Amino acid sequence: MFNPDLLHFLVVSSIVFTIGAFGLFVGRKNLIVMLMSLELILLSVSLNLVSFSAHLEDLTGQVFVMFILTVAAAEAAVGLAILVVFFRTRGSIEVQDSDQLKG
Amino acid sequence: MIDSLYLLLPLIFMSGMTLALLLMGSFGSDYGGIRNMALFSLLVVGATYMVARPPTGAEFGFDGLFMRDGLSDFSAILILVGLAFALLLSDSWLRRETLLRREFPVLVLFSGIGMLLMVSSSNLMTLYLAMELQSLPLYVLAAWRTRDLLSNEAGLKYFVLGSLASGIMLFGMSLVYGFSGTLAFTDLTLDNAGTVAGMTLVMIGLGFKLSASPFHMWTPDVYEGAPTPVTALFSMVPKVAALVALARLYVLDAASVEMLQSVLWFLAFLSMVWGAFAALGQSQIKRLLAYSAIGNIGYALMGLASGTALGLESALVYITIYLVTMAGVFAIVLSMRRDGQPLEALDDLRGFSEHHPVVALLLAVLMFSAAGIPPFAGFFAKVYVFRAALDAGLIFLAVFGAITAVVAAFYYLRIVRLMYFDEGSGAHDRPLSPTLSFVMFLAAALVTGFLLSPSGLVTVARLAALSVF
Repeated sequence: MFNPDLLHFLVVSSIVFTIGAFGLFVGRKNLIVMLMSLELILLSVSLNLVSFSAHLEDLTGQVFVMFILTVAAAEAAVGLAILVVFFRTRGSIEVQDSDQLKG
Repeated sequence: MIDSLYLLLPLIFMSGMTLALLLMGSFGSDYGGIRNMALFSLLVVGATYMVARPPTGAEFGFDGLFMRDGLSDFSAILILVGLAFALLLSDSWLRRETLLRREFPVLVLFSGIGMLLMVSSSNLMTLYLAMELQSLPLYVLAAWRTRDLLSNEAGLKYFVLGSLASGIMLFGMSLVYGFSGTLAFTDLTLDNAGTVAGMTLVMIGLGFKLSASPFHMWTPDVYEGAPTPVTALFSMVPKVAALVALARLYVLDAASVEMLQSVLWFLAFLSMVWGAFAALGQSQIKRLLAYSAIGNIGYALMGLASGTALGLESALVYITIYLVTMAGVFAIVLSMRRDGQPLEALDDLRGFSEHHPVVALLLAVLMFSAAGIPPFAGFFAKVYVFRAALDAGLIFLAVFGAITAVVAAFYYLRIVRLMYFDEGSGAHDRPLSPTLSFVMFLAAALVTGFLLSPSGLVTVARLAALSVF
């Protein structure tokens, strides 16, 4: 029977975090994909906190995760609102089209 | 519990007022009424900060989630002043551009609550929540001009990069939690590699909010794309909150200063260099001011990097003077119009002094101050941070700071040259809005009058800085 310990969780969460960060930088084709990547980053941190919390036998980490989930919802709402506004003026959600500013 | 509520009193009042304003807006109050109520509540909150003080030193509330001390109160007042400036400045411009929507003051206040919480947080969890509360309204404000592609893109860019920064910061917090077992500032010790790595990531997140190089890439675009009053807000207030939060984390104890000094050193060095050199080729006023913001943050970080009370004091003095200067500069930028259209190019300032000698003089004073030329306030601000850095043995950083200050002086003085010595590009519109004239006069008077009694601000900043040491 495989019994995962702290390290396994940390490895998984690091991988998820990397996928999220990678998705933001490389997969910048579509705004929805970027929003998904941001969610991935927040979820990887949540996994991190929960596994630390279990390991330390301390509840603070789990409380923090509750707050993160709430903030993630608010953030997604704001992100989608900006996306809708962008779509109305631009007519597409391809981020590559957003080249008016030099970056 | 009652003590905690007493400490939180200004924020409770401000949250209540903001929610009430939101309701007033949805029941059809007009913009002017809401703006006046917002200004009034800023005044009352400031007074509450003055009156409902913690009795002695640092006071903690809610099991150490929230704290009030000299530093938090000093920066709270500064933030409230900045918010009041931002609200005063935005009126006439928004009206001319038909962007006068009732949510504007409400969003500014919501963001302000986040900033006030940020400077009062003594736990990483509070810090994260406060930072999100500060950022989310700012993302919306950046995209305020909903029909304009530039503004939408600014909001989008700010949102994506800001959320990434929060994510990185949050990852750092999870590491700090895992390796040290606590999120409270008072219990943190940086005694293992995991905590130091986590703390570095948290500082990177805050460095992003501060637009410190190399995490500045959003700044010029967002400054340019966002409506100008929002740019004014960005360049004044959020930086105070992020700087103070960074300072709190940095000066936890002697070990944290030693461990994290190289991080701040690096941020300060790159910001000064990038802010000075990248600004040279700019032709848009707002982009120029964005690079100027990056450079100025570099100087404030140099003061902070010293890790001493003197360093924190000089950083606070620096950011205060910077805030006042920016209020004046943006009052002038917001009043620049020709044929009803807002002007944003540096070339539009050519021959400005012929038609508007008074405003040109005010802008020249502010630019001299920003360039660090005596006897204006900006000179003293730079002297203080250099002294703190030299005191702490950061010789290389101070020398480099002096060099970049000379380079930066070039582009500030170029604006003066454009106004006074170049061929005119025609008169700008008149008359100016009385509020804008008031703010630009006030700012120019303050940066000039600083000479008369520099000790006032410095003493207050010293008391604030000493409260965390």
